Amino acid sequence: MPHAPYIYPADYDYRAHHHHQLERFENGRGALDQRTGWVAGGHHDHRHYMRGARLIAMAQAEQYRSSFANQIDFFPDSYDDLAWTHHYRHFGHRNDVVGYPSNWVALKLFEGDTEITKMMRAILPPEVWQKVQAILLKNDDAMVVVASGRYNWIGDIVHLTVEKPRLGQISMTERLDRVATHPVWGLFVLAGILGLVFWLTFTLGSPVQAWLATQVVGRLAAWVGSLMITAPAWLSSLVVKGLIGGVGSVITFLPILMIFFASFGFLEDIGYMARAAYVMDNIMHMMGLHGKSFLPLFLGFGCNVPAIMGTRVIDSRPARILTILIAPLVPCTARMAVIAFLAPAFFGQQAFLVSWGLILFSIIMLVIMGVLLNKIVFKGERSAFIMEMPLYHIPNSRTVGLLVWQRALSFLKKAGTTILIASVLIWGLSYFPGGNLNSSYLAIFGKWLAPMGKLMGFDWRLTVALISSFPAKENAIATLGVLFGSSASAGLATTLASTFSSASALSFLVVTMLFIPCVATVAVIRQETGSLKWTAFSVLMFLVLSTVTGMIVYHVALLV
Amino acid sequence: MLEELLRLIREGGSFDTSILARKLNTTPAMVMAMMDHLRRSGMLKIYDPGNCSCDQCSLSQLCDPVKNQHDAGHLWLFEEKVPLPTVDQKN
Repeated sequence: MPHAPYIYPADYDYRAHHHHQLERFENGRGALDQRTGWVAGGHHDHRHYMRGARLIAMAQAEQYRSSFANQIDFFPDSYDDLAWTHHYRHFGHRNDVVGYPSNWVALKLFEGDTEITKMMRAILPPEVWQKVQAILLKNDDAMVVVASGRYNWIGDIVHLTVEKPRLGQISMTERLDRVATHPVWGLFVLAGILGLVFWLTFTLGSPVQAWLATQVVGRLAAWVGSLMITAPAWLSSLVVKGLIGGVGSVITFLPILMIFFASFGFLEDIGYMARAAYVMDNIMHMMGLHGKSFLPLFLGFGCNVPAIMGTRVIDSRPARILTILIAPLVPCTARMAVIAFLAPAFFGQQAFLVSWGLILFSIIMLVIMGVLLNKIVFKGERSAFIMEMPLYHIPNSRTVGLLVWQRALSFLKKAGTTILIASVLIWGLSYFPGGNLNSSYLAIFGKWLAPMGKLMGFDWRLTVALISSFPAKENAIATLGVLFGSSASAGLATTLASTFSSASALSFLVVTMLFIPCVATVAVIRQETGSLKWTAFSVLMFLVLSTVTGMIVYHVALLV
Repeated sequence: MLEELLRLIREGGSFDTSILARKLNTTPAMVMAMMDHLRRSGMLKIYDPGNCSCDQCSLSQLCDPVKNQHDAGHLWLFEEKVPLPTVDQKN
């Protein structure tokens, strides 16, 4: 049973009894020492002011609770002697309500105190309890009002007594956040940081990738080819073109990815990534997107899988389905890594600008879909989520190193499994039946799809590279590696840049980015919708969206 | 102050505790205390995605309880207040 606090009598005149303290408190508000944050006059005065603040708060609270308590007559005349006898016998108290002042009980009822509510329900006559309930329901916001009074009092005390540190971690975080999470400046900061990440990634990584492609993979292919000169032609082709050309080409991009992972790991560890997602979420808010799709889309900046799982907060099934459908449009970290991986293969030195533009394009697509979602489904429904930002701190090299290691290892595992299998499969389809690429099964399949690919500026090789990217986006490079290969004179990137026009390459990157989401995302869409139909619809939707966008981008790029 | 906080949250959107603190002319710690109060009242809840970890996710610290032991922050969701439950409803 909770203890009843000391309560002043209802007729207690606070101002008459404590006018000195109250006056000093009220005047003291303006006499705060701006340097220290403490009330001038030392510790003694400060205690007086605290007491004064408490008195004012108490007066306000008393006034509030009295006004409500007056609405309830707990023991009306109908509560006859028999009832009183019963009451005393069971509770043995002589005060207002089983040992508690009635106004305090009223306050607890308004606050929704479970124990007091249960107790009152047990002791009050049913007709009185019904009246009490009616008043409680009518004033269902009283709980917040009472608590708000307490927090106002706490706030006053904090203002009077707490000195904010002028330097250090907290003020530094606050100062940085005034820019980093600002609705407008935050966007510029984000754009600048993303640009810097891509610039750093490609400036440092591209020369290493080019060196690996020509001096390691190219030479290795030539050396292994010469060693296997007496081996069956298919075996030599499998090793040189399928394995070294496919998996080897993918691995040459590891340095680029590692720099990208390190940059993102650094941003994550200093506490910026949460702010980046927050700022991006703000864009949607500014565009008018409200509703419970906020949280899922926010989480999508990290990974689409938790984003789709986050749609569980949405009660309406149509709204949930629609949010699930657009969540994969959010450029997640992995998709940014794919852009970092593919852009230099086609654009070399311009990869930095292209990557930047692609992220911007992705956000624009998301905003368009988000606004449509809001207009169609949520229709102004409002919901909120609050983020407790982590403090900025100096990055820990071990944490960042561990992050890079984990992600690089994950990439290498994928190279050794999914990409290896895809490379062998693509090689098999490109070699058989006659050992000639142009008459292979892959060529037949690719040429069958060529009319569709042509609309996006692809030849049959780019079309099959795109299709192979469904299980893992990196397969696109593996397929191109098998089909084009690397040599000591020209790496894959050089070959691709000289084979495809900028319009085709840009269209390919846009289509890859908007293409069917990764396998994990598709699996979680199936899990969360509980429907094969919606999963198939999602896959089809992204197929159509990416194809149509690819066509538009290709034809617009041709005009530029 | 709590009423003002609720009014801001009810406007909808995404919020950061330090921004809320600035708007309420108080400290982030005070905002956190009020949010905890609202959580106990059932109006706010801490987002928990359940068993969901992603090596590639740059926001995994926010929803991974193991990683979020120190100062990685939380995500809070606002749930519109339902009418005060009666004892009968609670039982």
